[in-house]
Amino acid sequence: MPELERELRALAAAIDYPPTPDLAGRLIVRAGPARLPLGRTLAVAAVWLALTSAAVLAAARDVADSLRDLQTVSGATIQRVPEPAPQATPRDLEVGPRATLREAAQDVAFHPLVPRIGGGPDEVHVREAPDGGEVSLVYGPRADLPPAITTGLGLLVTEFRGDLAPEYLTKVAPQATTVKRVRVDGDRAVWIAGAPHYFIYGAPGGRIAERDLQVAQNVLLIERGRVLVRMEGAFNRATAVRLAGTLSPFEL
Amino acid sequence: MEDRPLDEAWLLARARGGDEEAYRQVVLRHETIAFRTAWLITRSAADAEEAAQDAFAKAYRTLDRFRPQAPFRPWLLKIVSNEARNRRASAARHERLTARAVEERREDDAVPSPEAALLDSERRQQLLTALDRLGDADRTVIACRYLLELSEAETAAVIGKRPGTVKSRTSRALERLRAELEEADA
Repeated sequence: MPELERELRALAAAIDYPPTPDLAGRLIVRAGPARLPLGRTLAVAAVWLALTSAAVLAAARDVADSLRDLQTVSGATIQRVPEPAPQATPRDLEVGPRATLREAAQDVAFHPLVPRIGGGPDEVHVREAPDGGEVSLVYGPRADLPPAITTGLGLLVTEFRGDLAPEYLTKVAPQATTVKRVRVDGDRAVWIAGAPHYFIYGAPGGRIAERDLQVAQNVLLIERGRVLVRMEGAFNRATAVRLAGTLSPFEL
Repeated sequence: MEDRPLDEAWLLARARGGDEEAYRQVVLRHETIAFRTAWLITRSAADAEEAAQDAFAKAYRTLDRFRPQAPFRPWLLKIVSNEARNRRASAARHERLTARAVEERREDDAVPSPEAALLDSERRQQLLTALDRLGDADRTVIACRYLLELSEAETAAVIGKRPGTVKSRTSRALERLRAELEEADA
């Protein structure tokens, strides 16, 4: 064996790794069926109640439908809330300052995932919030990416992480929304069509947070590890799934 | 030790049927290599812990897609490395590779290598510094093959390449490591 390889094997015995945490001991909680813990269930229930008006609650059939429609997707609970979608209006995107992809990758605590679209994103934005940062990739309309009604964009990809509560993702969609579970390269994802305008997710620190969608038309939501990727636009599901399948980490 | 593969296959079969205790035994066997693999990619103990923990949870949820006759470790390490890559911290926050004196071994370390004593502290530091200067891809393949002592199949799973390319990638990475060391000597 050449000298360098012998030295590397010798080095292996001396590497000062951090102590291995007790992963097996925590397994039951982490690996069990995807289910919201009581605290978060109550928090989500509180949000759900706050969002649901008394008049809507009186519509017993709708409420029953909404409860039947409670779905769990890879720890993501999708609730259909009997609330009409508000009229979407054009507004500025809340995506933080503009940056290069390299700068964005250096500023966030994860590797941004980039879909394979000719020419790359037209704009990249990065911002510090939420914890771990957020990267947005902005694409103008293209052949298979028609302009969204509210912004004129072809595709908006937003990525961020939920450090301590990533596996529980709750999204509240309006009554008219279509919610469908899909798979993208083995990763579970959710396709929501029909003008969803906000969603609720497990944020760092175990909080339950609410976020607006920017394009407010269709959205494909994918969990990749602890990175949550949302792809918003006026495109159809097949296009969204195809594009999501091309997501690959941007290497510095 | 010879019945370990059978034993693990049995544990995995039980786990596939929903036996969490059986799966916990599987995790116990692999948690150190999973965590260290994740740490060498993320270079952050906190991120590595999250990555390994999520990888074990994801593997459990997808056990029905694991081929029972296949070795479990490469399959697991592929999931671990994917989770770790999604968490890789920015370069500024990387924890550095360090080595300790041979006599400071911890209980969870592998069987001590008599070769370790042959590498003096100055040379260890040179190697670590040169490794830190390598690009992610080169450092990862060397770490897999020599520091974690993974097989070619396991290394391929971690770096996300075909097993047939591991030899050539390792060879190129070693060349670049040699160059770094020579540059440092000069």
